[in-house]
Amino acid sequence: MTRLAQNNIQADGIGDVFEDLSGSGRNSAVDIGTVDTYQDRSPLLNGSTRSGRQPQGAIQYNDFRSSFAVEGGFGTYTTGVGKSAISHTVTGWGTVGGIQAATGNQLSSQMGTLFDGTTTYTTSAKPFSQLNSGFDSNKWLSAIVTDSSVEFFTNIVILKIVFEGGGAQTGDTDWTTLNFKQDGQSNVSNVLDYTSQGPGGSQARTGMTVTTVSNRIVYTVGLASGIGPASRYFQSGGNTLGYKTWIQFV
Amino acid sequence: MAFTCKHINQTELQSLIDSGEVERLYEDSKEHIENGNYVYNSGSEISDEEKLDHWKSLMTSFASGKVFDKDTFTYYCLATYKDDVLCMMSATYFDSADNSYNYTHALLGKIDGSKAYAFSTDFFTPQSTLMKSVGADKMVFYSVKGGSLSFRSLTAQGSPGLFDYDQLSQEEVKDEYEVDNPDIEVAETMDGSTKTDDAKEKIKISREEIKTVRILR
Repeated sequence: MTRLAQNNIQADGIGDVFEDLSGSGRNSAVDIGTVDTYQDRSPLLNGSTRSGRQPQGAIQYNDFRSSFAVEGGFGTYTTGVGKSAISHTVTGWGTVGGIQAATGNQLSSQMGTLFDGTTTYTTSAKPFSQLNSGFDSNKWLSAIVTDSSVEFFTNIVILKIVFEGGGAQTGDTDWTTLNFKQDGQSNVSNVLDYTSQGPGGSQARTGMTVTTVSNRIVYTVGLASGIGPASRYFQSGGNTLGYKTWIQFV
Repeated sequence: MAFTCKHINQTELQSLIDSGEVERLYEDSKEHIENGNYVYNSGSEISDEEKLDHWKSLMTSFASGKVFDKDTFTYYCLATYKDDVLCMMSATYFDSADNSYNYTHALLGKIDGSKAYAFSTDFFTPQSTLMKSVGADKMVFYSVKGGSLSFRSLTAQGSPGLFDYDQLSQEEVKDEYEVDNPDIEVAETMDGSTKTDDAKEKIKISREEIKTVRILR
């Protein structure tokens, strides 16, 4: 049971966080070069982001640094009741306070789980400096969600990252980029093949707007691709649908 | 041939979503939705999957009461069944300001390949009972200007025992207003620290639709 920080990356931590989709155990050793599970899930593959299933190839322990796994929940809210009502679906992980801040207090329910190799976070925020000793102290990660809505003939997807604590300020420069990769268990159809189509990507801090909401710092950006580091991961009809998401802050 | 209806909660709705029942209603409704009876019709850039997600999200918001509009509104997701098979799902609200029960959005499924049942007295009888049970004395139906449902809501008068058609009215409503963001108790931060929030914008609401009012007998 080991966390993954920026240095001293241990196989045990990689196995804990990346190996098992159901969370029911793992092998005693990891072979990141030949087991394609790791190729499919590491936020970086030999230093770069990518999408979909990957053939065996070059990969480094460093690709797994400062990472954790998220099983996303979801919630919805709607503004207005008429034909122009705008419905929002919020997907990802967040504490109650993190979700309040991410949604401008429209939602007040904890959603999803975050697992870092040692601790499963639901109602508590994750100490941010655990990911990197150079990150600000007295700072916690409270939520990573996407807010999707259909407005004016367009599907709009907005990424929100929320921090809290005295060490979280609007001008922080401790992290520069969020990288992510997704992978799932079920192949429902050609369109919904969660086993081989898991997207990946990155988001730079400098491209995001920073505000203060509900005593927390909220980073916001619209995702032109509509793809972000959040997916609902849920049981339906005996299958586990959606993607599990692995997130890295560097 | 027995119709029933009830307000369903978020858990019940999620079961209907997961079992594909909501998608079945959406597929049966898609032609009408795209044919001038909803705002995202022709020319839309969103995918069919995104449209279905929009309806799921909308219904879930009403089922969970997570809708933000006027303070006098109480929100419901209304499920109507024929012989225990889901045939209609509606986003509705009761307005205590005028004791109206309002249908804003609906997905209507086919029964034996037809939707003719939706004009029958049997279909509306349990809905009339439910509307009265929450204190309503009138049913209000909202539709899109120029859409076929606006015409039908005015001309379909097949249940004179349930509705007083002599007082039937239809008008175009245009309204723009703002409502406050919800005033909630913010969860404490991990270290108890506080910050000064940026000013929150009010929620801007815009309505432009056809309103048809039927007085309940």
